Amino acid sequence: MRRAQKGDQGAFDALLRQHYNQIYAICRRLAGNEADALDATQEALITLVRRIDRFDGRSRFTTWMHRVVTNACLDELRRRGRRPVPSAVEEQPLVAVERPVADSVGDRLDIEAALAQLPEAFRVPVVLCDQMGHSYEEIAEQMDIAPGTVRSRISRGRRRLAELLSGNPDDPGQRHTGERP
Amino acid sequence: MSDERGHMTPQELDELASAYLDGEATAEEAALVESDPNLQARVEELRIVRELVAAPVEVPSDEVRDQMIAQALDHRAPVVSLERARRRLRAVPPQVRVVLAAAAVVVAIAVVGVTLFDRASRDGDRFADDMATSADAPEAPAMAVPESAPEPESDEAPEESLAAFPADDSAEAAILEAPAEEMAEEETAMSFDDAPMDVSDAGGAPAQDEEEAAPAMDAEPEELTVVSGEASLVFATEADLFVHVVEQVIAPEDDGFDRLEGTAAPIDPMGCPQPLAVGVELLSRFAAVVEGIEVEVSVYESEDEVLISQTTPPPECTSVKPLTPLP
Repeated sequence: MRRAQKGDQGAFDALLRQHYNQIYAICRRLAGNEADALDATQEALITLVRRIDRFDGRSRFTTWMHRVVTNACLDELRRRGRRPVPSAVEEQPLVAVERPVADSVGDRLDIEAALAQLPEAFRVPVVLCDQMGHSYEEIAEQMDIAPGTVRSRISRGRRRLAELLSGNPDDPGQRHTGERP
Repeated sequence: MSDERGHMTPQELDELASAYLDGEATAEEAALVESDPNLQARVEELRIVRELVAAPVEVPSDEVRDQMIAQALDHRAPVVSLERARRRLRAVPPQVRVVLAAAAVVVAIAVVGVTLFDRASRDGDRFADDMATSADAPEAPAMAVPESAPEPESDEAPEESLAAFPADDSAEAAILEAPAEEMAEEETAMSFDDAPMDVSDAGGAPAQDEEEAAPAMDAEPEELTVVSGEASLVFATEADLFVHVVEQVIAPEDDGFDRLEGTAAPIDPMGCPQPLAVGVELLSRFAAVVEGIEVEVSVYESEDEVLISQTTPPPECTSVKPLTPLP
């Protein structure tokens, strides 16, 4: 990484290759479809190349990198002026019939469609936590928010995803409560 | 336990279950979840969601990956080492420094010449020649102009670093205290030694909740004000200004930047109008606040050098001296 920072082209190439899959995975989950994910990944790679000097080692490289990638990806999506559109969501909207969440396991289109409907503030921490395995503290650092806010957003994001995947998007998640609202 | 759970809202229960799922719950919270079947069911429901999000993503082919990485590497932006630029500024011959010092009495000034990329092949003799030329000129600007072919208006971002003030070998050795290897490395490396290494500079900020405003992650200015006037660009450090100039003026690419095309007069270190010297082109001038000081930034290009000057606009210009024509 230090060699890359000093301008070693080979080292930089190796660094990007090493992390490429993670970078693409973040963008794919945030973008919701392959075409936008590819464009966002390209922008993210360029941003990394241009900003590598600014990494000072005060945080883990992957934490810093995921932050750069996340922001670059979101910026690219914003420039396009649209929220993520999942691959087949136009032709295949979210299922309308209620079903258990478990039934949708393995259905990639559903999770992409559901993620696409999450507001950015919830989508990002959910992806960083579940796809990248970051801790709440790391996500808080990346997003400049409090760890408690991360915890809340991830919880609410997951609940919303569960509702969307179950085909019951209006369900506020009270099936198991039995308590007062 | 059940009573405790009974006072929680559905959202709080989800938060508890979600945190437990991620191993982020406290011991007390974990005990609460493990003792409550309803909470356990909620955990399992969220676990399915988590596994869906965590499912591996099908990545593009190796060929696509290679193309993308190659394209990204083509965008390596040159980055100025401000500290080295300053050290080289101190290596400017005494007669030039006198001019600068006199100017500094009246206005705060920082004049730095940065040399465009493609300097890796140049050696110390070239620097010596450059400085000899500069030193011989009685009113030479602080920035010496090397002889090499110009590379203005490049469509591509420079791929190598910018080197700062040319200086003769002895002065370089004495003042920079940098071994030859380091200097050679400097010519090709991207370095930004004293730039603030704050991860908050990493990029644009994600959208925030209405009630949760977070500081912006990207402090780069979005617009470039070309002419003098009200400062709309604010740079926390000179290094940020350098990066801005490099990215927006020297290698503007297709960003729509409007160059002045030499129609505006340059200004001297005092901030007074100056006629353009032969071979010197004014690339840009804009008002800015740099390190809390309002300045007027001028960017000149002469041969393969780019000269960046910051001046505080003077109340009046009592003398106007032409820039020394280039040899």
